[in-house]
Amino acid sequence: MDAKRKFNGNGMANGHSKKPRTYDDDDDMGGGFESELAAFEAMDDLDQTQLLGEGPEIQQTSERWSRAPPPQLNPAEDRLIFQQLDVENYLGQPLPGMPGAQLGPVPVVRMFGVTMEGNSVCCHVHGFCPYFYIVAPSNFEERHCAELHEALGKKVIADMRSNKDNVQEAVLAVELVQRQNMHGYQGDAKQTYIKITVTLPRFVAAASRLLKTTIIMSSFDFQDCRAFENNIDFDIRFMVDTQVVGCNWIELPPGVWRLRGRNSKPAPESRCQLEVDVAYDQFISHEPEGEWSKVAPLRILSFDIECAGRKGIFPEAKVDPVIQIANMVIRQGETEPFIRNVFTLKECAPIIGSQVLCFAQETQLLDKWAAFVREVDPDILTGYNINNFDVPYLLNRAAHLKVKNFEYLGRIKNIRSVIKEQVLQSKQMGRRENQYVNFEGRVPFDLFFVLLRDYKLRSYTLNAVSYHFLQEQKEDVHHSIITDLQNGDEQTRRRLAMYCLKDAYLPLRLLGKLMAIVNYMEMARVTGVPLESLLTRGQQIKVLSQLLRKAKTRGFIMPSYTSSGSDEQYEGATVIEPKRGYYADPISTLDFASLYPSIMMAHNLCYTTLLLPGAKDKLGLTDDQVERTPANNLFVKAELRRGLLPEILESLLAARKRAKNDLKVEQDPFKRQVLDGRQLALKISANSVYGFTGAQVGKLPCLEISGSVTAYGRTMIELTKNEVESHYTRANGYENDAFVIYGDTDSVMVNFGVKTLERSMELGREAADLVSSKFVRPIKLEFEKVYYPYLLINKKRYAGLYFTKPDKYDKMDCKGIETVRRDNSPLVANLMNSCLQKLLIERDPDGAVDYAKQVIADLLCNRIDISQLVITKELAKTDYAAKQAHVELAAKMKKRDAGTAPKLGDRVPYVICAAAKNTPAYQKAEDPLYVLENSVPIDANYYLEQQLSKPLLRIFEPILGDKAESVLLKGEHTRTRTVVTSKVGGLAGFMTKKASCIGCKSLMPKGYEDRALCPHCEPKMSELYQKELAAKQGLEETFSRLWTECQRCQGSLHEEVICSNRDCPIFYMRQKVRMDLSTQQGRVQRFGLPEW
Amino acid sequence: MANRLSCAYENLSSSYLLTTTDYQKQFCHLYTHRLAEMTRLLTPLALKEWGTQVPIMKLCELRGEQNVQCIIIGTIYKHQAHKPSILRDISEENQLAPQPQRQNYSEPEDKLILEDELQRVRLQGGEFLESHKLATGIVCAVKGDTDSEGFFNVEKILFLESGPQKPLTVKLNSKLILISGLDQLQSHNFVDALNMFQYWLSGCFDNKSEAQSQVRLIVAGNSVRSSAMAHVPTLQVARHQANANDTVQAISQLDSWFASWAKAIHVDVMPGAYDPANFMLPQQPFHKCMFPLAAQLSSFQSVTNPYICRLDSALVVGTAGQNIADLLRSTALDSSLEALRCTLKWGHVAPTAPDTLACYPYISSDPFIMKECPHVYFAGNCEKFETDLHVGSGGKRTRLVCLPSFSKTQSVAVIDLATLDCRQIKFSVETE
Repeated sequence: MDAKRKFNGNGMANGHSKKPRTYDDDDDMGGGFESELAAFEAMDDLDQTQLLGEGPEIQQTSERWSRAPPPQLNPAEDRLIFQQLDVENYLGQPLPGMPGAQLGPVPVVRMFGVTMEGNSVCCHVHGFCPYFYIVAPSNFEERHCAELHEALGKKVIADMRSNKDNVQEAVLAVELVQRQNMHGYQGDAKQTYIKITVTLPRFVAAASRLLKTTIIMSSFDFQDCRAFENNIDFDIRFMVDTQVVGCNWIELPPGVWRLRGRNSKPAPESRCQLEVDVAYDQFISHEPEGEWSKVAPLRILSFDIECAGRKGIFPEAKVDPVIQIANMVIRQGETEPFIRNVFTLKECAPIIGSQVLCFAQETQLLDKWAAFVREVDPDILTGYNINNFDVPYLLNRAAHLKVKNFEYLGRIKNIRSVIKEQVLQSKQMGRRENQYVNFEGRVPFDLFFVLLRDYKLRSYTLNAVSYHFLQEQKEDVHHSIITDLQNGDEQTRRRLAMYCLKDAYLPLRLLGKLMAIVNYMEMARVTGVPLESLLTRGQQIKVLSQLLRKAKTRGFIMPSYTSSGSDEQYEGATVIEPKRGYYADPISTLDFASLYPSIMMAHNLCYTTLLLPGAKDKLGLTDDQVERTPANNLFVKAELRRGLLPEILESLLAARKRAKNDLKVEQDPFKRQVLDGRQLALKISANSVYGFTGAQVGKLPCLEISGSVTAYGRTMIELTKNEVESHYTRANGYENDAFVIYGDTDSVMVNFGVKTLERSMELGREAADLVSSKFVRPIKLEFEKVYYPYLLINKKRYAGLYFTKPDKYDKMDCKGIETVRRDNSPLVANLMNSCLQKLLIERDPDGAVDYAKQVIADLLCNRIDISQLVITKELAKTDYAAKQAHVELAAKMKKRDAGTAPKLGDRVPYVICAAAKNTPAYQKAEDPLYVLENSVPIDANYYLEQQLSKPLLRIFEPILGDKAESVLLKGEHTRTRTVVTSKVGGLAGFMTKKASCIGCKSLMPKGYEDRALCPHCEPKMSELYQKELAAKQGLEETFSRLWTECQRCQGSLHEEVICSNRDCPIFYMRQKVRMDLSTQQGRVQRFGLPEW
Repeated sequence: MANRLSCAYENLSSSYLLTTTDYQKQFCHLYTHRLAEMTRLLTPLALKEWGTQVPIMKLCELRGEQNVQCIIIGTIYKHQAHKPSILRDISEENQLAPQPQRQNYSEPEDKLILEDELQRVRLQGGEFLESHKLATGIVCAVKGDTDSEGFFNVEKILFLESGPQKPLTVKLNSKLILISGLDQLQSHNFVDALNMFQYWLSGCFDNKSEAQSQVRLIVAGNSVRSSAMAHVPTLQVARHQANANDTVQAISQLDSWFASWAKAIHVDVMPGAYDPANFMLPQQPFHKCMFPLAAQLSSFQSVTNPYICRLDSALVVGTAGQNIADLLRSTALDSSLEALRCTLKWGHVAPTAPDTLACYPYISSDPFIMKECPHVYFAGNCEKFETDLHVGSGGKRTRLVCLPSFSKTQSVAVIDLATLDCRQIKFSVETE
């Protein structure tokens, strides 16, 4: 019996729960965690689907692909040290000589990792058993334990629906222990709890349920006995109890471990090079400090697949073949991949620098690729959106074609990789249906997920992302062309392969650039959770892991909390009403450093220090020993008991300080990356502690804590304001009366009324020290920056030039201003950005106004490049209740050409076109290319009124006041409009073209129809001709530059550009310039050819 | 026009005249044609030079094999980090301080790539390859082998060297005058020099016999202006710039200069980079309507840039200098003369077109290939006057001339078509 329990996929593998469950995910620090509960649900059943068969052996085919052979180790004399990357558990048979239950099945923990020499390791850890606590009923004594043990054991066995595994023993031990409840201060006296150790993880839930609902012992009633720590994942339980943190180094000292070999018993189960057994209490888990902060040479495989779809239909695994798979393998810490290859269907011309493996049959291709994965033995799998597309597609396709053994992609020989559905719900990202595939021992690390989590971007296509982070465009081959390339010859397939290779390479470059692996690894180490859970789970598990670790050392246990789904609210952070305006003087900004963590530390806010109602009197505490928070909750002071949360925070912040200090002296760039990732991880972790206590549907919400934290925050902001405004006055000898113009959560903006940066910085520093002295340590107000000038638009909306030193600004800082919103056209973002730059950097308000006017005039006169006007929305589903522009357009485009029309899941770019009055906006959307080719007029009013006006007025109102609207939107510059005559629709069919004079646009008199100029303009021929030429020159230059740029980007001079990357700013321009240039050439030619 | 030596003249620039235009086409056709045509011309050269021992192969025939000695004919692509990029310009357009355009963006890190009809390979060849002196768009034959890292190790490299040369049989003493960069917009600074030039041209300096031997004057571009108009960056792309009135005025001034010169000698006027003509190479002749006076004279004509003509038996090829300026920006060539010499050796007037030099998207020809080696090969609007008699393989002799702009140096070049001697004549008037 060997059922695999994946840390996050637990509920999903579940045999009788086929419905996808809802996972919640939320990364905002204070954003109120939503239910993560399902993810924590105890696992309770076995998965029967993964049991059959054993995958193929690894075949070594290439020296380059395989890992170096492992050293000959003698367990009696040698130690084995490896970096662990994945921790999971399975049910196995007990191993003689190991602790724990001696009758099978028993849970065994499996750790996968890599040694510093690059050998892969699978380590079976035996003897660790799941347990939980319940409150001991009164009069329950040591002697009752045996009876409970037996009774409960029987009940649990009887409760099983089936007992295929032949479980004979369910409860392993029942003992009385002295612990303290974490929730609420009750003095130092410990209470008696019953610790129940069971044999299998799923029995934890079963046993605690049975204790609650049935009568186990006639003499005791356990129904009201609160259960503790019965909702902790077994993997986390193991890691907490053995001090293993994510991605740390594990050392197996000589003599305590056994090596599995060809003839050993048990036989090796994994495809790892070294497979060992050890008892859970015999290995050393190194803290990731000093020497042990190093990183093993992990193998990271990035891949991308291409499939030959049919026109207009999203590829379906049952129909459309996989034609190419490109792979790149890099060792962590190196800069270039050491394996570059592409698997292709049918012959493909060679690619220098990459291996090309051609296959006549798709089944061969898939089979060899799976063998390649097993041989390369990667530790981390990455790519772009592989979780939701590439991996499931490959698995489905292989299943459809009945490719034997394809699914054995993980490291355990007899476990297949299967697809599970997962639904992620989050405020930030909305509802996302994800697919999850297990790869025992390999960590799927989809770059797409990393970006979704950590970066807010306009667009998440690989093109857009690589442009954003690497300033490189990527050739995008439209899916309708892919099939044509595949059906061409070996050269067209080679072209496709180049494209595929690039898509496999880009994720690696991006991971490196963003230092994602290093940062996530450090986060795993700091918070103690496995690497993979960082991408698949929310913030809560990280805090939980730390809390459990800390509680364990102090003898606390955590009550299990069932979400009541209450909507009890506490007051949020305070905002000092902003005094809006454009400040030309320096504005000093005072920030509380790590405000919420320091409040919790300063006031000793914790579950363990909270005084529940009545507890103060019961315990006879004096007022000195107790602190009443502004939210009217009571907490005992640190002298009485230091809270766990403050301790966690202290160690996090201390560790961050150390990391920052190390960073200062470290020279090695790779180690610097690690340290920087570490200090960032520590900062984020410290902030998420507060969020954990506020999560309404969390593990252990405690509104007394979170409410008190924000209440303290509010009073501190108020206090700061009062202190500053009462001290910095003319009466006290300062230049001017200081005013706090705005304050939000943890920062306060002060106008000291001084003119120079130096002075404002000096006063800022002074004020920070002054106010800090009024607060309890470690709360500290810091002077961080001066905004000069500063444009305060509204709450959470401001912009300023950010100075930390007087000589040069650091950056332009914009908050809450339309510069990145995805549902706007780029025109808005670019205009806002330029206006703000003119306002803040050039300090030229008039220039900014003129610029905005110019752009509005350009818009009305149709001079704006169409790529600036494109709005993009994802076609998520076609049956929206309300009519939506992009959906309507997609339907329209399908009628025109089903082959290139957007499919479900595609992003639909559109522009809003002019139409008859009262036409609803959703009918006005049009394909930008169609607009270009048919000169469809743009609805400039829509862009002006719906897109530009609000954001523009917002930033200009503080400067222009009420007249902003009339100046910007109604001025002289809005009078001239250019009307484009459309080639399609409406009246276009009824119009005839008549020649007009290029000079004066008047209709040509008789006899002049074929000339360029009318008799009146003819004398000015030279001048008018030059004017037309000048326009043509500009277009010719743009034409050349655009099309040669595309040629460079596609990496070939002799092949036609076929890229259809609509995210690229060039895409529409190059189409437009073609048309404009042809038109302009026509005008020039009316003057006649230059013949001599 | 009296008393001039007569000289047979033939305008060979018809391949540069565009009668129809089609901007729906891409640039790949031009490259493809260039490669095909030059492969045809290079193959016999390679066989002659290297024999038949080493096979001429296509990259796709190598199949990733290593250490196979072969000859590859392909187009060079130079990967340069700082090559001007419109993509970068667009993304910087909204930034305040755009990076200034670099005068020269050649760097030691530039990567040299050879592309044949289907594939690419990185070239490697140490010192002798002089990759910093090569540019995108050159077609050449390389001999060498591939290595395991995917590089092609070049041992020998062969260029077209501009085809065969016809023998020179020019009458004694015929002289060709070359001038460039008249920059009428700045002419107030050197109007005296222009007058002197005109006197000299008409033999008024007691130089009648000298004047009689002058058979033709070629004005090699930038007659109106010699620097770009300033661009105003905005969000919009179509920048319809009002054509300044002074340009119109400058052209009518030019018209009168040209008219008076053409009364004395045959004048061919080429457009230049900043003149009112089309922007892409080949630049078309000026429209007659701009030169109402001069156009009436049969001895005056406007021609294309580049310009090819035959004077008696001397083949004259020249440009207004865009090809040379672009090469100097993208390579580490240290002088205009070297750049000019290189284009002759490479057998292509403007290899960097269309990559960094705008050029018409030809689909079935590449008029810039030099199939016949010229006797006089010049480029206008260079920094300074430079000249050399280049002796190529088989004793081909070509007079290379880098013409400085008249507005800066007040000088012209005079070439003796019989001996290919060349000298510079200055008309600068010392003002105190």
